[in-house]
Amino acid sequence: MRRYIVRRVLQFVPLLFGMTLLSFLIIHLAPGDYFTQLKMNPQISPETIAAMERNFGLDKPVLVQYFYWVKNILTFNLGESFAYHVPNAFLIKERLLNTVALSVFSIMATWMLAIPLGIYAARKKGCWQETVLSAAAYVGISLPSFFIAMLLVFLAARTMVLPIGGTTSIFWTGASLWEKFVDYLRHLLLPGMALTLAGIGSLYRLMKNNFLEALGSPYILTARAKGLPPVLVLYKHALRNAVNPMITIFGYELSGILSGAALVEIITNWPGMGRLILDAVLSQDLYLVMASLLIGGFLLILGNLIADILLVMADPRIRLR
Amino acid sequence: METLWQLNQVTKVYQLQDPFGRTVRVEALASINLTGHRGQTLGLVGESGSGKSTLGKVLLRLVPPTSGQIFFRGTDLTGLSETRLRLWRKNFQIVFQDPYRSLNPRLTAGDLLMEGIPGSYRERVVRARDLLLKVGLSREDFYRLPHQFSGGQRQRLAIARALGPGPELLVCDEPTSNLDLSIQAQILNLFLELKQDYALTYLFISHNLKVVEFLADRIAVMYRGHLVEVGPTALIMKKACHPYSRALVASARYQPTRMFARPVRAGCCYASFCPRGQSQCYQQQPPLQEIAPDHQVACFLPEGNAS
Amino acid sequence: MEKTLVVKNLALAFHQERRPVTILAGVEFEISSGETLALVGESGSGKTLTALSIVKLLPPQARLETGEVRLNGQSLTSLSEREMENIRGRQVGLVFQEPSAYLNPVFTIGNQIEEAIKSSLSRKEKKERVAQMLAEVGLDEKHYWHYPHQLSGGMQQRALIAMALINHPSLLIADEPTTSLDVTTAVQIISLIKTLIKKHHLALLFISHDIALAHYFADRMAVMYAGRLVEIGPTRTVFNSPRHPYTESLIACLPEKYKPGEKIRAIPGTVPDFANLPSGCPFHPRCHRRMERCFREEPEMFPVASALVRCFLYGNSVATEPGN
Repeated sequence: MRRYIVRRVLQFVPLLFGMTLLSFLIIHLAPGDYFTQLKMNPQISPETIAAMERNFGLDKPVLVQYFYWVKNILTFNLGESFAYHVPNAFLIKERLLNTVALSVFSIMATWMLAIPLGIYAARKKGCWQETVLSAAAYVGISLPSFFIAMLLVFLAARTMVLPIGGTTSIFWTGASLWEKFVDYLRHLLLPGMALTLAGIGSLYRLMKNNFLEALGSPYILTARAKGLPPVLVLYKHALRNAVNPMITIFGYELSGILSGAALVEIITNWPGMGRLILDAVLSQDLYLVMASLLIGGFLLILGNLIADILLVMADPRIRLR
Repeated sequence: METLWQLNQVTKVYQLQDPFGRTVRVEALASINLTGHRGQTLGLVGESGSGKSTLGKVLLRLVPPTSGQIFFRGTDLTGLSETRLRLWRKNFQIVFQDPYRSLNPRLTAGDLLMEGIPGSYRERVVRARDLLLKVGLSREDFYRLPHQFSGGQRQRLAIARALGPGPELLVCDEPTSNLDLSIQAQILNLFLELKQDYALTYLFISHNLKVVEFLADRIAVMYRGHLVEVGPTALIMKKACHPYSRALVASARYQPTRMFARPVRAGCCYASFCPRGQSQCYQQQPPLQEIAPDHQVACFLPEGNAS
Repeated sequence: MEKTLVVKNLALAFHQERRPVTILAGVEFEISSGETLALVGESGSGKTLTALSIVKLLPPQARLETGEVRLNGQSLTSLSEREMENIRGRQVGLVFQEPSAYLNPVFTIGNQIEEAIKSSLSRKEKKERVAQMLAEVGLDEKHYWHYPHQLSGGMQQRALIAMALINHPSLLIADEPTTSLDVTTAVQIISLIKTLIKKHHLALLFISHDIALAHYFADRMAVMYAGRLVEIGPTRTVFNSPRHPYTESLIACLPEKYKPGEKIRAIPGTVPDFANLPSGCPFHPRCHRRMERCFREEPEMFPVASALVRCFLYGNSVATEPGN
């Protein structure tokens, strides 16, 4: 198992290099850079800009720039943002925490709701409960996440129940740790709900179908023929098999954290990575984009790896070597 | 007896990938030498996974062999390109176990039949109609789709389609295994009729020794990629020499054979289960050798008529 | 003495869409302790549904219309689902066709056998019981920790047999237990079942499409066609002197009964669809001895020698044996 993990991580190293190199080149191919706009500003002298360019190493050839960047990465230096003039690590750390908090909240909420609902609907197959749930799921799937987010923002603004935007209220400084936590959670609720509502439909449908498929399997007949009580038949024999295929999806969801939440973050004004990356790309803040890509790639690796490991733990038919 | 087809040292190795990208080597055919006589039925028996199906497909060049040569009417088909091969394909056709999966569900019976028939449109229609009647279907069936047929009728249709190009050799890969006894009987009769009427040569692949015994002139027994015994049907059924052939024949009569299970890595393919293994058997695979005219066995210690 | 299993006048219909479709009609048989009854028929004859109605494990659209099932003197017909759970596994064991599909892939063999134990035993006693059962079906103790995919088809079927017999039931229902196995393995499984029924005085309902296997294996044989028993009696009587035209024709379909080059006397036509059963006797369109009344009326079971035969050749006004 350990050898497998090491191998998988090593396999991803060249991938990571390829990915970042490609992004580096593409950003350079795009016309202009961060200083193009500054150059048009008559108040900044060309000497200042040239000095800044030299400072950031932008006067060197592209590949040289890339290798400088890689060298820095290896010493855990993510470079400095052009726009904010602070280290990228500092910028990203805070934003990443927010995004991770949002994603963990919404993934947990989605799964904790979708799995039981899916099982319930499968057991009520053909009854009105299933019809209602499936119709609701259908609506949830067809509405894009940003639309749900906008709808929630609108509702929150009208009812004033939940705060909109940011992570903290005005009284933040001076609040106790517990009050801070509750306040953070209240701010998290709106984007979190938007993501949950957007994701729950498809997961519910998947779970329902998996459970139905498991219930129709021959080994369920065996379990019933053994005279097992329904609890065991359903929640031991059927559930284990229904959940297995979901585990892979869980891993992929982890790897999709950054992009998945971006739209909702932007609309609900949640200061996460999505907003940061968008701004960085728009203002061609080269090293900030690269740092974000690196983190995205890392999450992808982690997610896939976790998915594989979970699958191996859940399904005895798959063995690693 | 005239040789129609011949496999010479044919090997087929599958390189499979497991879910984690590791390569697994599976030897489906291990250096097979086998000859089919014109106008005769050769029955090929063995358990599932013995490679009998692969042998049929390799013979028709549906699957390329890893090494070895395939001769048909004395011509080496092994190196032929797909284009050259197409000219040969009309001479050999195949009928599969599951006709539903081997027949395009969107084509009518007529279309399916006419695809394989050469000639002008009129000729093709006439011949397709004839073939339908020949295999026991009716004229109205011409416009039906595969799913509108019952299992037995579908197999008749698959047989008719295989006959369309006018083959000399028909490979039948478990053609009755999915069918009920009463339908199997009908199809077996059909095979007998067609053989006479079209002077066909069959390679009849089945796990069911009783069906093979009914149809075949000669029987070839396969075990884990190896041919272990080849001989005339009556001989195999009464005096098989290879321990595995004997176990098969006994099983067909519902007599259990004692099975040994020792972990054997090398040597004879049957060494793990053989009740008669000796030191030699654990070192190398015995070659298929002629122990009597038209009777070949791959065993160091053949039972019965040896010694 | 009360028989182990008594099935009386069983009728079953599928309720779906417009009208109910009758599947089983008037199915009646008995099995006593230590006896093997083979239920033989082609696919779609209703064999499996007969077995499943005994333990009430029917698909949701199926409904028992009439009939009674008695197991060891107790009527199962009126029992609730809760009470049936107690019967299944404890008094009846079931073994099915494809062992790889009927074992749950994510649990160990040991786990799946052990959970079937109905009596309250300590963990250790349960383990011992499972180990003992594994040995009895020819598996090794180490297989307790194996997952189904690590075993061959024959070993999987052995594990399922162990599971079915762990509570020492009085009836075993085996539905095509060897059909998906290789012949050599199949014969071993058959001889294992034979040994076990002798040892535990089990009543066995053996369901098979293979009439030759049933002949080799069973004490009595029941032949089914289109949801009806058409002939039931001692195996030797039924197989060697079949009375019902269907039984006779089915046996004549066995290829081993013919010399090389001979043609099989095949039954024309196909098995009818339950939704469109022919009028009168369901076999009459394929029957070579049909009479005029077979088109209109459905025969009952008439006693002939030691067998019961559902054919007008043997009762209701025609008194003479055919062919005499």
